[in-house]
Amino acid sequence: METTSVIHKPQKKNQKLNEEEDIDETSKSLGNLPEEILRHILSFLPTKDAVGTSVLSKRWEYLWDSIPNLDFNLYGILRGKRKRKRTLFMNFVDRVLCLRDSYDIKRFALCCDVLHDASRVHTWISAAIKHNVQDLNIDLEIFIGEFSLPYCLFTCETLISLHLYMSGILKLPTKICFSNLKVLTMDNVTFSDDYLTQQFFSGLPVLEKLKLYLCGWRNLKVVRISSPKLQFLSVVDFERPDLSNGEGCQVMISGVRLKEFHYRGLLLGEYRLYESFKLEKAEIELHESQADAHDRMHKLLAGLSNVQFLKLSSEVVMVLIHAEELLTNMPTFNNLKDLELNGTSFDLDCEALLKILQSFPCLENLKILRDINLLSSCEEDDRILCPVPPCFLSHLKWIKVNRYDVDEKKLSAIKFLLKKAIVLEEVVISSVNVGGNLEKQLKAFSITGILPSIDVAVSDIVLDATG
Amino acid sequence: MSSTLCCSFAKNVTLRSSDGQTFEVEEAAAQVSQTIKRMIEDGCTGSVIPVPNLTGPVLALVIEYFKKHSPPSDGCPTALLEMEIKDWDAKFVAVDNDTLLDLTLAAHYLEIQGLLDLTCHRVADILNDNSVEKIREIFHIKNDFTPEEEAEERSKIQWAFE
Repeated sequence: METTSVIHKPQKKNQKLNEEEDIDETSKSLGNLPEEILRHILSFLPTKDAVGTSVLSKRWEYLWDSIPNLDFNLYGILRGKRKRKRTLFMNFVDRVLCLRDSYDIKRFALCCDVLHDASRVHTWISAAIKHNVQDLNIDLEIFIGEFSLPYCLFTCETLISLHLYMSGILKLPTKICFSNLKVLTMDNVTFSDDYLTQQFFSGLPVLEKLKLYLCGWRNLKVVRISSPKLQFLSVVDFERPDLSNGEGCQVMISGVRLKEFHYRGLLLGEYRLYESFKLEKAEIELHESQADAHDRMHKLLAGLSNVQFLKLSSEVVMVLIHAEELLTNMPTFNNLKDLELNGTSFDLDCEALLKILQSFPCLENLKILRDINLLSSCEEDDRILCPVPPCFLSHLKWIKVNRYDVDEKKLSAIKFLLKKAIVLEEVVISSVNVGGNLEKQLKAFSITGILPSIDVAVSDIVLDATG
Repeated sequence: MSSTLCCSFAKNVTLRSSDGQTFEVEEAAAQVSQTIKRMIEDGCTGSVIPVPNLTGPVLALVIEYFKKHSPPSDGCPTALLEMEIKDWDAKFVAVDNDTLLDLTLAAHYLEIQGLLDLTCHRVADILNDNSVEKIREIFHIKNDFTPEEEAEERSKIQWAFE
């Protein structure tokens, strides 16, 4: 490779060469590149390392003051004494923000504890906002009580994405309008004032993606989320240490453009969707099947009736066992084509499952990610899947059972499933012990010898579909 | 804009380096460089386009980059193709440090944003992986701080060296 200087330096006239007459002009020094390039190089470095280049030489001293992304994480360093570490961190953030040039900050991430430095943290966040931040990620640890973020944050026009983790009550201002905010994650935040919380969720005119993780609705009765452009909503809702999840709080979501909805948790609060005509995908993952959640679950499901793809955990079905009278009022899911059932084993003769399946008349694909079983013994077979869900007679073409663990009852469950689904085109069964392709699995089934009749049925169906 | 409707007769341009070497390359490929694109649009295609800031060996490398990054004739690039280009890019900048700086300057001069990002990212990775002393050595940066000044600079941003 050529080692002599092969590049003429066009910008040399404009370059400050730092009075380095003794530097060999022909040698290629990184320091001789135009400032614009050096700043571009620094933009690819983590904040700490970019600022660290200031000791390379005098030319580098303040080059970092334009880096577009600032990421300050107190926990980024593991070793060292906690108190000393914190002091150094605080001084570092102070210096970087104090010497910041007028260049905009694109992304600002701050992860630290607040302790007695609330006003300092406040100042940092304000500095980011003054520099027209677009993507703000604030993670404030171990904070008890109320914390107010700079009020200018709530009217920030440049902000596109906000992630706020804060284990405490969020004090809200009266004027709130995130005029450009598209992505919002509220993590561990507690809302406590009815009126201001309503102002907050009304001040998101262009929001497209909302994640509410472990948010508390303390003393709130109703929260209305009605961003007209909301497309994605995810709620994670487990028990909080301060028990302020918001039992008795109704979260009403009006989502005219909502395409995707995820719920994971214990369903401690009530979540209801309205006007979700464009819903394509919904995933409900209940983690415990507490009997008293059945009413809330029924209301949640009722709002999903336009969905095309639905994923439910087995606890959803289990909790609905307690809601038999409600299930008769289930709306019909006319658009639903794909259903995924996840969690522990499903019982095919469970009344709630049957009712649910009856509400899905156009279901084409059924995926059971974990085993299918029977509660009762096989003799009572006329009660199983009776009356037959309409989709079994007209639409259900494809069934997949994952992690199938062969035993007699489970084989009977499969048998019923196949017998009732009369328009079935393909069935895929993958066993726990037999990975790989369907042929292998089928062989394995015949080897077991328990189920010769089904084996024929299964292979017939498979041949129809693949042949 | 020049039309490339006739695929079998792709237009070529000739580029001449500072040391007089000439290279023929497809016009569409050369337009990966915004600088050259403007020159072509200004009607420089008939004659040879001078690239006085690049020597032959560097221009040869840049032309390799052009060829790999010229827009595909049949529409959208596939994910597979993108992966392949990414791999190729990584190998392309795995060069000695002097060549890396040459390519960085060439990308800057010829306004090839993709190549500039690629080379700058590579330089940043090297900065990230090495100590201050080692960086000075690798990239020939003269330390013009006195030991006292340097110690003071370090103490101000001690967090960065923890």
